[in-house]
Order: sequence, then structure tokens, then C-alpha cells
Amino acid sequence: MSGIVWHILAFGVIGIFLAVTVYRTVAIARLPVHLRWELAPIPHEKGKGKYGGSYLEEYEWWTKTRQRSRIAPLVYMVVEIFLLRGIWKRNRPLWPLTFAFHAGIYLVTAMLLFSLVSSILIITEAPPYVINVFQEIASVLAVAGYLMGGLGAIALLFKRALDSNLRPFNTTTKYFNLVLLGAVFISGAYAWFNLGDFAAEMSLFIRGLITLDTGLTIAFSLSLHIIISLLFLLYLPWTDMIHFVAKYFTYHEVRWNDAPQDEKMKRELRGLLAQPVSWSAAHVGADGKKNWVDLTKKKTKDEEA
Amino acid sequence: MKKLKLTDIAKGGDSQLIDIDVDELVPLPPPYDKAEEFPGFKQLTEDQRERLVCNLDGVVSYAALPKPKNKAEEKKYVKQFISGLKKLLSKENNWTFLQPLLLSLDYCAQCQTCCDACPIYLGSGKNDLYRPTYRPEIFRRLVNKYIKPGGKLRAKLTGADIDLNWTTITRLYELSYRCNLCRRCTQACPMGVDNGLITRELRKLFSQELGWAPKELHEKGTMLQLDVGSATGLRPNVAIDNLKFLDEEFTESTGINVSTPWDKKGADILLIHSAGDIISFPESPIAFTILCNAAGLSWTLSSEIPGYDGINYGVFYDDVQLARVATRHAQIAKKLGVKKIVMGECGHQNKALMTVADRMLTRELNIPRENVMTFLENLVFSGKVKFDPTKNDFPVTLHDPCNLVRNMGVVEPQRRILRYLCPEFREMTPHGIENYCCGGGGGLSVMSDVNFTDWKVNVAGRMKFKQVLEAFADHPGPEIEKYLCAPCLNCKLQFRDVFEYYGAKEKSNLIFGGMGELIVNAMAIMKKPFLSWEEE
Amino acid sequence: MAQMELAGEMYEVDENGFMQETDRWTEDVARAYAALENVNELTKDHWEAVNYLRSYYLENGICPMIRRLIKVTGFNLSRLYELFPQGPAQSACKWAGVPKPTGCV
Repeated sequence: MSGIVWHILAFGVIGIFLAVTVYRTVAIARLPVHLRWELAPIPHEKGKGKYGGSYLEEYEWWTKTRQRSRIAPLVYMVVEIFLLRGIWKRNRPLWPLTFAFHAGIYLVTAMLLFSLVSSILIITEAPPYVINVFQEIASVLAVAGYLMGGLGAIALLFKRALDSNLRPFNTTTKYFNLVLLGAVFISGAYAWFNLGDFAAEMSLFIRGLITLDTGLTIAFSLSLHIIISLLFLLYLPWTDMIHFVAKYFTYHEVRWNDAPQDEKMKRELRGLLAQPVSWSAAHVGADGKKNWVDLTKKKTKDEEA
Repeated sequence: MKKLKLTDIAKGGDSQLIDIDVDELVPLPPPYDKAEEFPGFKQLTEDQRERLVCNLDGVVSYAALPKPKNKAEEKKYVKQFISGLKKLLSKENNWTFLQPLLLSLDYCAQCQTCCDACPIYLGSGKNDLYRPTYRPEIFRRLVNKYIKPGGKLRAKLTGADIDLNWTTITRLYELSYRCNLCRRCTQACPMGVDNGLITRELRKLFSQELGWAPKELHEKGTMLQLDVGSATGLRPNVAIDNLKFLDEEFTESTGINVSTPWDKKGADILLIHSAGDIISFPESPIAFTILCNAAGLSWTLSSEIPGYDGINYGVFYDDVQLARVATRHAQIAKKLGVKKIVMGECGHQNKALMTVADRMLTRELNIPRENVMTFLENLVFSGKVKFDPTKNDFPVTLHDPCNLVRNMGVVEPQRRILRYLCPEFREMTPHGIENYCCGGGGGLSVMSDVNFTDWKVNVAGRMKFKQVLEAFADHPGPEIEKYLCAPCLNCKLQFRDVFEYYGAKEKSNLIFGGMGELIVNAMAIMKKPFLSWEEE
Repeated sequence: MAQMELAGEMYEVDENGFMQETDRWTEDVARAYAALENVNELTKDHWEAVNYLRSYYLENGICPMIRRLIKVTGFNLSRLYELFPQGPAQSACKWAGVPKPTGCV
């Protein structure tokens, strides 16, 4: 394949991936403020987060300044994202499988970053030993990531297919997602073992992309891996696998959202309460015109009489 | 035990989906381990099977669910269900929970981690029907199939195809009342998906669109409360009259002047009990009267509709009713000119007014509100009341009401009180924010239609009862008096049913009650115990 | 709505057998309910409790608190259980022809 095709493919897919991901993220973020529905533990509660307490424990809490920790939620999320604390705590048998799988994703992502840096170093003609260091690290990250991710994907596939707890809930989509991501890892591992120096090839490929080099050529095993990876990246943002975005909102905007009303929220709430309601049950008393405030004011039988 | 597929929900018409076998439920410790010694489930009569919709598990929680006469009528209900689904996903009709709902619909990874967190699923001996994932996943697939573009084709292609018919919707209705909304599953979900919320949304769809809701929560719940003042049917004059009667009774029995203030304009504190406490557990409101007076607080009750019944069942099934009740409570406080509202010992009541309805109470209605445990803690440690903790020299354990603890983060105030006033206080396992629900959460504790109570005492309340017994494993027999502190009316109602069913008073000398009673019992001024293990 | 035959007449009842048409109650209805719980004769004490419950309900729209019932009749709780096998709420209220107490009670 000529360089131009690679440029179109790679930048096209990355562009679509970013656009769809941003679109979906913004769509979630722009949903209206909802009623409070917090759930303990809330780590930003200073001194109380550990046992799950909240500022509501304080006597006349509205007279006190809220003590919020910025670091604790961050630590909580880092441990949750990278070590899968929830699964470790509540579903230990699943943990090694899903940890390997997710670690694979993180390691491969890190490998791409190192390869990107090393390709920039190549372009800027940095000393070869510096480039070498980055490529050595990328190479280790690559093989570790591909193997862990590949094993994780295969193990999860078997788990899904065989575990009687999971099986009734499986859909073809769930299997397909695992197969596709498994193929990314396995094709990567194949390329790594097939090529003499995977990391160098990868850096050169990325350099070719960045410099728009039309003479860009790559080995078959690597191009197979890159095509599968690009297909995955194209598919990813349309699926529930972008839970890495959703998770921010389920934690920060729902579980941990214990904010009392502030000025901005008050303005938004006034707009929301002014919306017409059209629920059909008789007791609601909606007619498509009356809004939330009108319905809340609906008189009791006594007052009507 | 029968293995269930998700698609089974739509199949089999009016026939029952599963049978509950009491021998498969999780075993209880002795002397409660012999299922045959207890009444078990009341089987439905032939007549009931004829008249009622009973196609789920042989338990019926709502006898008035309509039974369609023909296919056309069935279709009408199915259409209404779909229109309700659409409204549930619209900003105008459901801004209140749209974001949490969409997040919970779209991002479940099907890892089943939450199952082992659910006390109903565990108590049932892991019955597939009661998985916290079963009902939400059906709901998800119905949304994906019937609401999203291209959904029907995609459902066929991906093997996620569930039919929406009369059987599906009636089973879903009944199944939405096999959950305590305790959100232990939500806490266990690494993704932050809220299967408890989905259950509540489902109840909401049925209530707000089809007008289907349990009689005890709706017709004789919020509707009656907004109409006459209380879901118990207690009218303002009768409420005042009852408390006057109780004031006199307790003045006589305690030797302390017990006098409950009503409708005092300009008082600092409006205290809102549940009317059910006044009627069924009068020691609780009286304990508050004794404590508030002893501490010299400026406080009052309100006799304005519905200011003497703080319950808000809307939080269990209907946002409009939730808003109506909460607004009324706030309006009453505003009229009285109080500085803060304190809710009585009732978990959902505290949660409804303090957090869930917070964003519905705009402008001058947003009056400061304090939870009952913090209020009591401040009172106990204020130094204004003298205590003698040796008076509480019996084993005490603490039940954590889900709404107050897991859902509001009020964990330590009640423990600081117990560690001070109850030398033999011990925790259950697990406790605090990881507690098990009493089994009556989500409004279930007040529901008792047909044979629903049998399900509550056998399945929903099972893990809790087991846990309570284990907390007293050092004194299992009736020789030693034991106290289960359950600072929530709904939890107490559930414990009353469970204790009665299993004979916990006779077999274990175990009683339950609130926190206020325990505090008053330790007051130095009390000449004789406020708590009694003997029935009058 | 479920129907139930009591003392030769049909009545609307809820699924737990509580009368829904309180005004159609007669003393024979009370006797018929009692017989279903194997109480074949209603004594003066039974009537005292039943009549009090009923008149309180008709006046106030709600059943009296147990404490009040105890105070007015002078029967303690165990005596009430002797008189009414399933207790004041489940038996006595039913026999008095008033609806089942609901709503956090």
C-alpha cells in the first residue's frame, strides 16, 4: 500500500474516533441537572470519605464550609481505573482475567505514546542512544501489552461462554467486541515476534504518518495489526466500550454529586421546572401544557371544593 | 432451581414464571432453621388465580392490576408502555433522572458483580428471577429494541430479542416490586451503573403513564396523604387528639411532665414524625418530646395537612407525587417560620426531603433540613440532659437504614450515641454503608396485599434476619433481653412482620425499636425503664 | 374486587378478607368472621372491643391506636389476642367491618 492510503486511513479513523467520542461525551455532559441521587462512599468528603460519611453528618451543616478533598477522588479513580478495585473487592475470580485484559489496553496505549515520542525524536534527529531508550521501553510495553491483553481477551471469551452466571446475559455484540479486541492484541503479538525490531518499525510508521511521507512502507505483519487496530478504533466510540468516558459521569455526576443548589443550578432548575409535562396517568393531571411547578401546585380535593 | 433466560419473561402467557421453594432459600441459624415449622407461603386460591394477574412467582403485591378482556385491550396497555418508555427518555418529562438513567442503560458490562451484593438474590438462594441484573437487562433490551432507531433489526441480529407483550409488562410490573431500592448493587458496580434506579424508573413508568402502583403506596399512600393529611388516614384533629392522649399516658407512666407542642409559630425547629410512628410505635414520638423538652429546645409539630406525616412514598415510585409531598412539607415549615426542619426516625423520609427533593425546593422553599441522627447526637452530647449508660446494660445491635446510611452518608452520629449510651453495643456484619436492607425498603414494608407479606418475611428480609441473629450469637436464647436499634419506621414495620412470623420475641427475647427510646431509657431522671420486653 | 359470603349475604372484600362496604356491616357479619377463625361465640368482651373499634372508625376515619383500645376496654394485649386470634389489627378490625389499616401502621 502506498503512503497516501495509510495517511487517509489512519488520520480518517483517528478523526472519526475523536469526533464521535467528543460528541458522545458532550451529549452526556449536556444532559440536564438531575435530582440528587448520591451514594456512599463519597471520597471527596474530608475525614469522612473513608467510612462513607457525608457533610450531612455535621450539626447544622448549612452553617459550615464544606471540607472537600481534591486528591482523594483522584486517588480513588486511579486505583479503580488501573487496578480495577471494584472487581478486586467484589468479584475476585473475574479479576485476573479482566485485569490482564485492561492492563493490555493500558500497556499498548503507553507503547504508542513512547513510539510517538521516539518518532518525534527521529524527526528532530536526537542522538540515537536517546531514541534507543524510548524504543527499548516501547518494545517491552508492546510485548507485555499484547500478551496480557490477548490472554485476557481469550480468557474472558471462555468465561463468557462457559460461566453459567454470565451466559444468559450474553449477546453477539459482547462476543464480537472481545473477538475484535482480542484480534488487535494477537495480531500485535504476531507482528512483535515476526519483526526483528517491532518498536523501531512502529516509530518509523508513525514518523511516516507525521511527516506525510508518501514513500511509507511497512511489513505485512505490522500492517495487518495496524489495519485491525484502526478497524477497532473506528468501531469503539459507537459501542458501550467507551465506558471509560461514561465512568467519569457515573461517579462524579451521579454517585458523588451531592452539591446543594448554587446560583448556576438555580437558573437551570427554573428552566427545567418550567417544561411542559405529558405523562398520561390521571393523578399526574398533565395536559402537555402545564409544567412541573403547575403540577406540583395541583390542589388536593379539599382545596378544590 | 429453574434456570431462567431473559426471553422467558415474555413467554407462557398467564402461567407462573417460577415457583418459590422455601427449602431453597438461604438457611437461617437455629432455632429458625426448620422451614416446616413456619407457615410458609399462602398459596393463591383458584378464585384468586382466576381474578388476579399472577404470572410471576406465585406472589401478588397488587390485586387491582387490570386483567384485559381481549387482545385489543392487551395491545392498548403495551402501547401505553411504549409511550411511557419514550417519556422516560425525554428531557421534559424526566429531567429529574435522565442522566443517571441513560448512563445506567448504556454502560452495563454484564459482569454480574452486583448479584452477590443483593440481599434479595442471596436470601432467595440465588434465584435467577431476583438477580439485580435480570429486570434491568430486560428493560435495557426493550429500550434498545423499541425506542432506538433500527432497534428491531439489531435485536434480531445480536440475539437480544425480547418481545414486548401483555405478559412481559405485567411480569415487569410485579418484578419491579421485588426490589428494595437499597442500591447495594449500585455500590458494587465498578461502572457506576445503577440497577436500583432502573427499577425505580420502571415503577415510575407504570405509575406516571399507566396509573399502576401498589395501593398502599399510591391510592392509600401519597394520594391519601395529600388529601386527608396522612397515608394512615390520620386527620389533623385525630393526630392532635392521639398525641394528647399519649402525653397523658406517658406523663402518668414516667412521672415526667410530657407535653408535645403543636403549631407554634416562630419555633426554631419543625419536627416531622411519620404518622405511623404515632399510631404503631408511640414510644418513638414520645421519646422525642421528652428529649426536646429536657434539652430546652424551641420546637413544634405541625397539624397542617400533611405536616404531621413526614413520609414521602413518591421517592419509591413517582416523581410528581414526590414533588407534591416535599413541597407541602417545605411550605408548612415556611409558614411557621422555623429555622430548620428535622425529620423523625424514618430513612426514606430523611432522604426524600433532604437530598432527593432538594433540587425541587427552589427559592424560599429551600429551608435548612437536618437529619434525625445528627439532631439526636447533638442533643445527647449537649450536656443539657444527664445520662446513666448502665441503664442500657443489655446487648444492642444497630440496623443501618439504607436511605439514611448508604444513600445519605449519615453513618457515625448514631454510632457515637450508641458507644456512649449502650455498653453492650455490637455491630452486625456487614454494617455501615455496606449494610443489608431490612427487606422492607423501597416501600415494600407497607405493602401487604394478597400474600405479599409472606414474600417479605421469607425472601426479602431473610439476610437481615440472619445477620441480626448472628450479631447476638453469644446469647441466642431467651434468657437475655436483646435490643435491635432500627431508627426507621419502615424498617421497624418490616422487623415487626419478620419477628412475628419467626417468633423472635419468644425464641430469642429479641425486641426492636428506635434510637430515641434507647436514649430516653438511659436518661438519669427516669425512675423506671422506658423500654419494656414485656407486652402490656 | 373479591366477593365473600358472610351470614348468607355477598360482600365486597379485599384480598385479605376485609369488608370494603363498611356501612353494610351487621352483627351477623361479625359473627360470621369470628366463626371463620374458629370463634363460635362472641362474648360481651368481644362486642365491647368490636363496637368500640367500629364507632371510633366511623367517627375518625381510622382505627384507634392499640394503646387507646387497651385503655378504653381495659383488656391488655394478651387478652386481646385471646379474644381475637390474629390480634386487634388483623382480626378485631376485620370483624368490626372496617377496612384493613394501611400506611405505615
